[in-house]
Amino acid sequence: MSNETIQSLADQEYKHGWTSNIDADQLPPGLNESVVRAISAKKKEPEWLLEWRLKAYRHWLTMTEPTWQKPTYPKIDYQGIIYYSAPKKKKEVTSLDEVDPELLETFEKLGISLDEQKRLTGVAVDAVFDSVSVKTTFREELSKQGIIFCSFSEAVTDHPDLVRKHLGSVVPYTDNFFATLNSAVFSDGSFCYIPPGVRCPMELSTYFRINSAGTGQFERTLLIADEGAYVSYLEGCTAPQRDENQLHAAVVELVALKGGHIKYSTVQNWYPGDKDGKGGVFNFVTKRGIAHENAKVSWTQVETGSAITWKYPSCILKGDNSVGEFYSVAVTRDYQMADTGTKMIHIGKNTKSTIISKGISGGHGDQSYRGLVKIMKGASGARNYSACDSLLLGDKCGAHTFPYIESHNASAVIEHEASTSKISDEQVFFLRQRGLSEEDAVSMIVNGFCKDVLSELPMEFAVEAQKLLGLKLEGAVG
Amino acid sequence: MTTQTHNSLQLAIDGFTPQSAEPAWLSELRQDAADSFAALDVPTIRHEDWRYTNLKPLLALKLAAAAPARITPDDLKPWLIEGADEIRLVFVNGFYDSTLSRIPALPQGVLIAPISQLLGEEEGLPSKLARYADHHAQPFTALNTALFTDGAYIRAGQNAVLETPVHVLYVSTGGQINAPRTLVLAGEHAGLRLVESFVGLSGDVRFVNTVSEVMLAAGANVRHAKLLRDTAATHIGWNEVRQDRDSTYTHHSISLDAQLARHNVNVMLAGEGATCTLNGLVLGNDTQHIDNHLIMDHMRPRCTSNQLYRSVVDGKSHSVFSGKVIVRPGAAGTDAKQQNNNLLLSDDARAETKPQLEIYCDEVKCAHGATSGQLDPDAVFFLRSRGLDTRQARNLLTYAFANDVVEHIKMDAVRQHLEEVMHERFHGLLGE
Repeated sequence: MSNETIQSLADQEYKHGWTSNIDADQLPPGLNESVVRAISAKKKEPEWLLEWRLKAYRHWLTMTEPTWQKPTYPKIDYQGIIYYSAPKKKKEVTSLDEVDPELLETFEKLGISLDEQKRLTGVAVDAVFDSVSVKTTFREELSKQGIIFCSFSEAVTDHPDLVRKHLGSVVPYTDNFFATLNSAVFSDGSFCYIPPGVRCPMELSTYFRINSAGTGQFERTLLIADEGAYVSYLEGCTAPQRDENQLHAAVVELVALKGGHIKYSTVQNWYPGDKDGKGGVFNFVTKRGIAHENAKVSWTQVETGSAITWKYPSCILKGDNSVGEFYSVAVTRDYQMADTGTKMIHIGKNTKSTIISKGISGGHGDQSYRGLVKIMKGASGARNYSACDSLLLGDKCGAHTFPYIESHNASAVIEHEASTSKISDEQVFFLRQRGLSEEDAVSMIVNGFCKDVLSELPMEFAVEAQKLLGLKLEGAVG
Repeated sequence: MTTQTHNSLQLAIDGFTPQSAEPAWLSELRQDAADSFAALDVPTIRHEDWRYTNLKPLLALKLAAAAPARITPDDLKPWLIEGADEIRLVFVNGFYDSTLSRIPALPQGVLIAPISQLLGEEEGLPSKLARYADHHAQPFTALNTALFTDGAYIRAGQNAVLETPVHVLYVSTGGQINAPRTLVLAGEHAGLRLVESFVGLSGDVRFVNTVSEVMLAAGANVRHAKLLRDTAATHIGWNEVRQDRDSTYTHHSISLDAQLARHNVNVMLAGEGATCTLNGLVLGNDTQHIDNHLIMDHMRPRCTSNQLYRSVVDGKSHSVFSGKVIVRPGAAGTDAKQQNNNLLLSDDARAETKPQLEIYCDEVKCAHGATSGQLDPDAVFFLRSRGLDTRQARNLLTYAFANDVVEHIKMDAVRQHLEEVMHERFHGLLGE
């Protein structure tokens, strides 16, 4: 591909770069036990949750930040972060009309107008603006089927037993440095419970936004599919342009009980920093699902944003015959870095897992697939297939593959393959001689490269994801 | 650091005295290595490179210092390779045994001798020894550099080709810490074939810590096989290779027996157009633990590398494979392949694999694959339908799986020898 096309790719402006000025009710920067207590108090939380937060905070103090990852980043000043920031609410809102117009405009700019979504797509949106859930739609329709879909804080108030039972059951508060930090200071997030045998009639979705300057976002999501239930959940992210790095340390826990099925899809397009690598979001997220007997947990992600993406959506295949899936497309360009992959822990018999990871790296981008497939001794008949392919667009980028495969059972069958290549001139030439422009040719090749993953996305997201990929690679390679 | 000052390895360094007076450069080198070892931590499973191999049992061993011992030709017999013993160097516990060794007249430009006999004479030895085996970074390289007693020196000058394989036998007889060292220098367009056998004569638990350095000048061709056959040994070996332009290096690492083995093979493809093949076979049983750790560093353009490692694990044995292919910026035209296959024959056996690609250049073709599983039940069924019993069918398939590695050995005598050894292992097949 030519230098100009790479250049034009690199010069792409971040299209979601703006900040909205909404008065935020926020704590001063810094972290100590009283901040944890203050967050808990502001959210009117029960004693047990405060205790849990404090346990996490005290544990966090004993931990050291990990250093084994491939991306490097400037030291994070945890005392310089504002741990709680909520858009000021004048009063309780019951309809869209009462919502702060500027807020609505914000969503408008993002192209996720609530009423549009509501009317046209039938997607229920629990929009999280900074840290407090301001609007929930379709709640009533869902509640007819016994489905609970609300913000995390509401769930704590309204369904404390469910929250208490499952919170930390997949990602314990001791799990890792960033998950522990999240456990201590998480502000809000989404909660979803699908009762036994219910198939959620619509795709559930949440748009996370990072807004107030200097606010770290510590989201916590908990999804429970009870026996035989099914839910498809979408998470999409865009963030405004900003110079200082922002830490995003979220936790997502999925619980698929016997025969349950959770499909979790993410499109992530946070601010990646400018073309010199200045600024951008640090996306350090812990995502994990547990699949009980005959259950299925499926992760699909399209990671195009953030200065650093560092996450391993994982599946614990605890029950017999459970299934785990991981489909990922990651794009890094300019100075973006990604260290992502998955962990498949096979515990039950006849458990199956599939990993399809596609990495595209351009400019000075650097990305790694890091994954673990672990077959425990009792996982007879376990089966894993992994394929990790990387596409390099330029001679200054990097693409790395670090799979870990641990087999402790003779009857398990594991296959892993990976390849790294660039778009060959022959491929581009072939498409060019069929009448396609270089740009379209490259775009077609990249879309073909990612097809296995994009086809796993729900319709609404597949469109957005393709747009995003096109945007990222516009004018270049495709 | 404080925790290890009293372990057996540090004690071995503290108690070390060379057999005879050594030149100043070597004493300095040893001192430097000893200082490095003291400063480096002996790795634990918390070290990424050692996460599957626990060295705690090694540190607890009571090990005597290496001492010469006499062995008879009969002791040596089982380890000889018919057709590959014309040139033979035998080291017992790391000390040269001239009565068992055979060095016939060699072509011009070829020199084969124990390192100890060359210390004062061989020009360039001070600058070559320990040149690429970095004792500042690796504790076991440091340990070997501080302790090595002797080892094989094999040099082929420009255009010198030695078709006959050189067999270097490192024999261990007791519960000692043995530190042999090999240095191979292949000059421009030179050709060498080398077999290193690490064998044990007694059941005393011991530690064999080896370092081999192989340097290939432009256009050189070296074939190198390493056979490990020492049931009582904890064997930690570092094999450092540096290849210049258009050179070809082939390495076969065959682990037949060891209590715990760790083979590190680090290859620097430092010249354009170099070709490197690393093959390995692990036959594990009982509680054996075999760890292969490879780094293939594509530093220059248009190099080709190929790795095929297979392990068959039975009983409670444990195999580990970690292979990293690095493609440096500018190493365009790299073609790197890596394959690791593991066959688990028992439910208590374990296989961990970590094939890795680290790529900083777009003009490359890199691929790796890894599989882990049991024998294909359909294949077993097919063979049974042809009249074999289950055991024969399993043996035949296991043999075929392992032989895929062995058949690549181009040194005929070595390959035939290994085929016989495998026939014996997977008995019930002989003569069929």
